[in-house]
Amino acid sequence: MLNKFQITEVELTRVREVGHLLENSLEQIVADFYAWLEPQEEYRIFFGSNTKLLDRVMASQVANWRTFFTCKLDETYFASRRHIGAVHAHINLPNDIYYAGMCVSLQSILHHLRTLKTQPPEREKLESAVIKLVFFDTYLVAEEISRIQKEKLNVSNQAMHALSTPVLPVWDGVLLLPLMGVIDSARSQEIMNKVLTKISENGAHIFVLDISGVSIVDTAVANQLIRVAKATGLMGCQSIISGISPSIARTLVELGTELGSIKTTATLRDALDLALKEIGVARARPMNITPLAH
Amino acid sequence: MSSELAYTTTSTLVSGCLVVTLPQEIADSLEALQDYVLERVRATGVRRVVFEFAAVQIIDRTEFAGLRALAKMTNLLGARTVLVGLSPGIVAWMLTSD
Repeated sequence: MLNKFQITEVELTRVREVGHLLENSLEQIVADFYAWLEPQEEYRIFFGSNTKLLDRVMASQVANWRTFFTCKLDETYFASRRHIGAVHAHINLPNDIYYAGMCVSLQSILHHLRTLKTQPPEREKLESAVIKLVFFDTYLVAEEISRIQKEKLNVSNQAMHALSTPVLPVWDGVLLLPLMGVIDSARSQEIMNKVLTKISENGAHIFVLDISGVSIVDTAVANQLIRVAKATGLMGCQSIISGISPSIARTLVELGTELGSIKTTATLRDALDLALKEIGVARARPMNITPLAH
Repeated sequence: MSSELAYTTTSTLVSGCLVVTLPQEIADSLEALQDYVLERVRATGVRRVVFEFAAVQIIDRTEFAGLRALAKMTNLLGARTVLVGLSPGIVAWMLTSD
């Protein structure tokens, strides 16, 4: 990795030299950084009401620059940079502030180097060594920030996935899956797996698939869902598809899709009614068909 | 020129059953007829639909296929369908051509 950044032992020695030369200017360099940060929105957000936090952060920044200039690229150093990245990721600091901030600090370091009373020999080489190491340091922190952001995204994706296929036991031996949103081939595979697993766990005899929440039911989606319903049949579980709208009914008939033993209803209510009848649950009143609207 | 009545489909709700009275002439209004019936079934939530053929004297292959499809669509909406009032002429035609 150091090779990519063209950082050799020689360069590290040079950076250490700069560290010695600027030992007393480190606090000023950090102060320059905060002078730049103060008018930014983020300053107000993080430090606005909390001067003790500000002091603490400034002190730890000075310490960070000290370790930077000692150039001991060991596990402790890498761990500390990862820690900086983690802190910034968790406070959700926008990336532009971090990179711009490092740039401002670098400018400040170079400025102090150039304005030293006694100019060191081969100053350009010293400058270029510092620049390389600042880039390297920034990379280490940025890498950790990006890794944490990806992780957060993964977690929220997984949560969404888990929510998206809720196979619910609504009665003894009756499972219900109210599908919502868009069904693509990946999701329908997941639905198939989840449904069949639940059926075998539950020993369910009836599976109701409600599609009234599915946004688009075209031929592909219809076929996928019918496949699921037929598969349950192989496991000894009868499927009922509810939430059939007039346009879906039209699509299915025009396609000539064979539903076989799969029952369908327009409403979830009717499907549950059928399901309970199938498993022999007696109803307190005789069935009255009441119109929903007239 | 047949009057407008020849093309009108009406439906009534009787004892939890939707009775659809088919018009004398279906012709080009097949799709509109299908949409109308499906919407009525959806709105009333009935489980039984009766298709009344009393006004239908002649029917061709396309029209009949369309009505058959409509019956299937109605089934998918969870309703059982019954065809009533078929005239002897139509029944004979159905037996020979289907």
